[in-house]
Amino acid sequence: MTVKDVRGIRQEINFEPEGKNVVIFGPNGTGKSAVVDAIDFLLTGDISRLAGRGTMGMSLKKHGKHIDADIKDAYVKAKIDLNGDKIPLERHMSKPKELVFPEKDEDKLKEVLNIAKKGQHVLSRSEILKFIAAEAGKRSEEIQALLNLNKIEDIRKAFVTIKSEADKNRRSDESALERSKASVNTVLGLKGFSADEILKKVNEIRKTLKGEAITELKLEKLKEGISPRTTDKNKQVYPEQLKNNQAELNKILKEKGDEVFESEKQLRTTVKALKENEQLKKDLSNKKLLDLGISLIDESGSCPLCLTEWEPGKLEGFLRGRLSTAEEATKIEKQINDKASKIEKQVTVLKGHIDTLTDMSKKLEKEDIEKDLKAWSEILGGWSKALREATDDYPIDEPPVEMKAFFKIAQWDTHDKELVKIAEGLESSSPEQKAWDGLTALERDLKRYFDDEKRFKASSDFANAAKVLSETYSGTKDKVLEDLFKAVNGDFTDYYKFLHGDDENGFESELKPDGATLDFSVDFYQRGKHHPRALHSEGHQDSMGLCLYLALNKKISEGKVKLVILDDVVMSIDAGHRKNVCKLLKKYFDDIQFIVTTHNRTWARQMRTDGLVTGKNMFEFMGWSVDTGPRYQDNIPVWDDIKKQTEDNQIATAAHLLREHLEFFFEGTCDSLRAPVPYRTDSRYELGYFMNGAKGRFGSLLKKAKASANSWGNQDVMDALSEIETQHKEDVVRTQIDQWIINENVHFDKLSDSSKEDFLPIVEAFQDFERHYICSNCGGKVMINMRDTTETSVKCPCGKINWNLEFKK
Amino acid sequence: MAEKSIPEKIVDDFLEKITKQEILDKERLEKLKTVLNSDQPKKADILEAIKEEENENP
Repeated sequence: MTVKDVRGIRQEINFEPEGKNVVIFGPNGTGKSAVVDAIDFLLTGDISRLAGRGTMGMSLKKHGKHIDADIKDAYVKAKIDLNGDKIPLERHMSKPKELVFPEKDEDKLKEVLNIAKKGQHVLSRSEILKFIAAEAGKRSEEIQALLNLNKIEDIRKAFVTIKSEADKNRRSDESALERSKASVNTVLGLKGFSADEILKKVNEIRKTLKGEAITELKLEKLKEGISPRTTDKNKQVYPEQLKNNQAELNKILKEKGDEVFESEKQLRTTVKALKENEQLKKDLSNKKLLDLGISLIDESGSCPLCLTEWEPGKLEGFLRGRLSTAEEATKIEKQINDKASKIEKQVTVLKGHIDTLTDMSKKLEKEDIEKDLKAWSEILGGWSKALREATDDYPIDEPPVEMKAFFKIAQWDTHDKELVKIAEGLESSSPEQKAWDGLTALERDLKRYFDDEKRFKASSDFANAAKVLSETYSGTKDKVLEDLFKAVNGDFTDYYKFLHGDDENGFESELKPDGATLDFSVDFYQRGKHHPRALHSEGHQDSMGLCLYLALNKKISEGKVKLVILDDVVMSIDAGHRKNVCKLLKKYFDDIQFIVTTHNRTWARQMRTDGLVTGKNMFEFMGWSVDTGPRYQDNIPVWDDIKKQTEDNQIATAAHLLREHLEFFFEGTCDSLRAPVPYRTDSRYELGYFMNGAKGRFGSLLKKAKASANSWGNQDVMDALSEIETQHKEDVVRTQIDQWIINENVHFDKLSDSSKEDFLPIVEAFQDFERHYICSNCGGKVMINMRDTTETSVKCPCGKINWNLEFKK
Repeated sequence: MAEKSIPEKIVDDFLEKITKQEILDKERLEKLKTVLNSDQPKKADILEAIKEEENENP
């Protein structure tokens, strides 16, 4: 892999891990994460660190490249191994969406890239905390993002919204239908709406007009076979219609008052519960804002408010994720809407009668009545509006003043009496004309009824379908996810027990999706299941996060993407359990290539000692500057580098590099051989402490191995060990000549006086000396193996070096 | 044959159930399938797929 001008990387850097695990280690701020970002960019065309929550103002375009670089110069190139095929890939920051690869490999790459582009191959510590420490709703959101299940959640939410909108339309169409029915009843003077009763009345009217009885209530049949008459619709007021409207209006005032009063009281109680809960209020307010925000996002996907550029779909996904936090508020909002809608239905019917009477008063030129009725209707209209927006601003302590209008206005009784008199005094038309006019009025109202009925049926059918679709989708989703999480939970438990089985052998866990949330509870020493953060230590929580991620990753990668990047994730796990992490990765994920970054040198060494990574793939990042990017070394080129500096007569630099490398190397060797090192409270260990500890221990273990071989009578082994012993002694002596030169206290001027001829033999002596501690086959370091407190053998990771330390009894 | 991803499995299982329930006609079912299997199914697209076309003159 070659990276140039990406994030903190300036000069071109190269890695050749050849499909094997890689460890990148070094202090914070040395550019390790830039390598992770580069891999992320190559595989996905994006850098996850620059996207999502808390990244406002960051963009790939501005911050993906090195700060001083021209975007055209920034790129990542790599050769990936796909079932034995080596395929070159490259991606340039100037064209992030375009992955360059040979055309012939397109089919082979397609599926793998589809999975890789999800970008879930990177686990960082902040993500671990998201899984473990999060609330159920948030965890669900995070894990869904990790599993790329956002699409599933988006579909679920879309179905829920469609269902809820369909319900709303159905309610509105139902109100309109009720109004139409009330109008038909008024025209015919019926108490209840019944097709048979209407037909009966229609036939009575038709009989007056010499028409035959009809058997079906159809618009085109109403006037069939009847000679037409004329009606001045603009002037005509039918006394029966006037009386009926008055009667219906009075009936509502008399009979529906208590019901409306009680419903309104319940409504205010629910609104009060919402308004007095600050969190619910905030959630609901956010929901409204988020709903509005989502509706305003256009094709480009950019923020409609601040115009920040987002990749298409990402802002919407992010906002939808936030919507899930308002589930409870949404539930209460629905209760309020249902109650308000029930009241509004009554208000609308009452208002309908008032409006009809207003119209009649106008035709009768009764301006005072018309004016009062109009004002009455407007007051009720205001209440209707307040009811439709009940979640926003509905009074909670006292009913709104408009509500009094439901129980009549002061002038109504007077107007009512006057209208009765007017109806009585209206010139009575001939029975035929009355019948014709009645039929005409019915025709108009019945047409509206049929239209409303059709509309209500359609919206009702659609609402039913939307309900089934929404429930079926949610049910299917829950079932599939339940199976998925059952499998994930099984793997998680196995991995965790592998890490912590020494003290938590009875460990159990439960990962359970519940609607929009994902409950996660873990056993605590057989004392019941609790939130993972409740009782376990931080180190155990880190272990859980890692295990959960690995279990999830098994599902995500679908066995196709064999790459996992662990970005500084085991910080809080103690050394003993970190050893188990190495074993876990080797045992369960032997076919996965891990790229591990850490600022912890001990952990880095441990991975090498335990054979998770070979020395060749250990990269130490030692420093970073904005002009040059990371300064790093790997174990093979370090000697080339030292020799090159020597050849160039840069003896001071070469001596510094050599000392730094040897300090690191022998510190690790002391650890792997359990060599004694004099303890210092200030932890200021110098090279001499580690080198003397390692060589002394190496010598004593060689002696013990020889004695063991002797006890078994194995002369060949004794001879081989003697040879190593002799060579080791000779190389120790070689390193002691002119060792002063690498002493860190030696002044620069003195080193400058040395030549390459002086220094090169010293470098070679140390390189030869170091080789005693490394396997020539696997590159791994020798390490001591123990059984309880008994030293059993000295081995390298591949087993080529294998000294028996046990004696024949 | 490649194993189905989780979203694909959910969509397939869902459509199978919906087909059995005869909630949507064949044409709308096909439309819905196309929308749900797209990269980013939008609410408006789902709605368009499942809504019966308005027929002014039945």
